[in-house]
Amino acid sequence: MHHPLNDDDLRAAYRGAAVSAGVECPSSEDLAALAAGAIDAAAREPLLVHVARCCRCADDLRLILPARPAPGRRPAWLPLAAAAALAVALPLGTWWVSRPASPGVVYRQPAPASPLAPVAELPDGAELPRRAFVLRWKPVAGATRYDVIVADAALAPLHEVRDASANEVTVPAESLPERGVVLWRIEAIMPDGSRRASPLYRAAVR
Amino acid sequence: MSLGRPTLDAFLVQHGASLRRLAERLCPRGMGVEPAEIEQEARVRLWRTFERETNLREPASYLYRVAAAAAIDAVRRRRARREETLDPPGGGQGRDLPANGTSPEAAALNRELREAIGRAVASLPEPRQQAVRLHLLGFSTGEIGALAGWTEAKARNLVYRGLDDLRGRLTEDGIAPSAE
Ligand SMILES: [Zn+2]
Repeated sequence: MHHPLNDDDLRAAYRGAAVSAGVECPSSEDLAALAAGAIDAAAREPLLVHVARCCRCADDLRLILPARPAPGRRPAWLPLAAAAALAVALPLGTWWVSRPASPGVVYRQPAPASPLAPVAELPDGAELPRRAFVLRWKPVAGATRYDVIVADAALAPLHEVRDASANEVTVPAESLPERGVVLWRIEAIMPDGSRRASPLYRAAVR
Repeated sequence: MSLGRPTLDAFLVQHGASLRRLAERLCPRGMGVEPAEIEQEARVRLWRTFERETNLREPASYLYRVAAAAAIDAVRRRRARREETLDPPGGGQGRDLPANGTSPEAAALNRELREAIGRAVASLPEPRQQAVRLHLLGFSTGEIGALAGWTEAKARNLVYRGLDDLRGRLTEDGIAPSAE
C-alpha cells in the first residue's frame, strides 16, 4: 500500500479514527473550564485524554479557545449606549426587550429541539390566567424529575421549581406580573444526573 | 431558596455588554447559530449558577465559561439534529464536522488507512502522543501548550518529534508519507 500523505491527509485520516463511539463526551461546562484554565491538573488530564481522541469535542474546544480571556484580564466595559446600538443591528425575528438600567435581553423564537429534550405541551406564547398558571410539557422518557424556571422578559427570575415529579407545575399568582409575557424553560434530569433543557418558551399572563 | 436577584442584576448591568461581545466571538459560522441564541442561553445559565459561583472576583473567566458552554451546547444541538435527519443511529459519525484542510484525496482514505494511523499514533510514547493527537485535530502549538500546561516551545518540540516518529511508523507499515 503506497499513499503519499501530507500533513492534511494525516489530519483527515486521524479525524476519521478519532470517533469516540459509545463513550460519554464531557459536559460543555467541563470543556469551557478546561479552555479557561479554571480546572486543576487532576481533572484536566482525563478531559484532555478524551479531547485528543474525539474529533467532536476537539471541534467544540477549538471553537471556544480563541475567545478565552487572557490570564488576569478584566473585561473591557462597553457603555450601555453602544450595547443598545448593537441591538439595533440584530436580525428581524428577534424580540428586543429592555428594562431600565439593564442591558436588556434578546428573546428568540424557540429553535426546534432535539427529540430527547423536553418540549412544552402549550403553544409558544400561550395565554394563561394568572390565577391558574399551569405550565405543561411532554414527559421525557427516562427522566427522573424536572426543574422549571420562570423569568420575566428580561430574564430576571420570577419563580423556580426544583425536582418536580409530574410533568406540569402551577406558578403561584404572587410570582407573576399582573399582565405581560413571561419566559419559561424545563430541564429534565436524567438518572445519571445529566440535564436536558428545553428551549425558552413564552407565555402571556392574562 | 433565594434567587439573588439584585446581585445578578447588578452583575449583568456591569457585564452585559461583555457577555454580548463574547456571544458574538463564540458564535460558530455556517451552523445556523446566532449570537443572540448563545447570549440568551448564557443568561439563563448565569441565572442558574450565579449563587453557586465562588469565583466572582474573576468575572471575565466566569462570563467566558458560561458563554463558552452555551456556545458548545448550541453546536451540539445542531449536530444532534443534523445527525438525526442524516444518519441512522451510530452511522457516519464525524463526517459532517468542519474538517481542517480536508482534501478529495483525504476523503478517499479508506478505513484500513484510518486504522493504520490510529495504531501508529497509539504506539507513540507520551507525552509526544498527546501532542500529536491534538495537532492532528487542528490545535496550534500555542493552544496545545495552554491546554496541557506546557510552554509553547515544549509543545512545538513534542509535536515535531512526534510527527517524525509517526511518519517513521507509517513508513514501516508500508504507508509512505510525502515530505512536506
Ligand atoms: Zn467527545
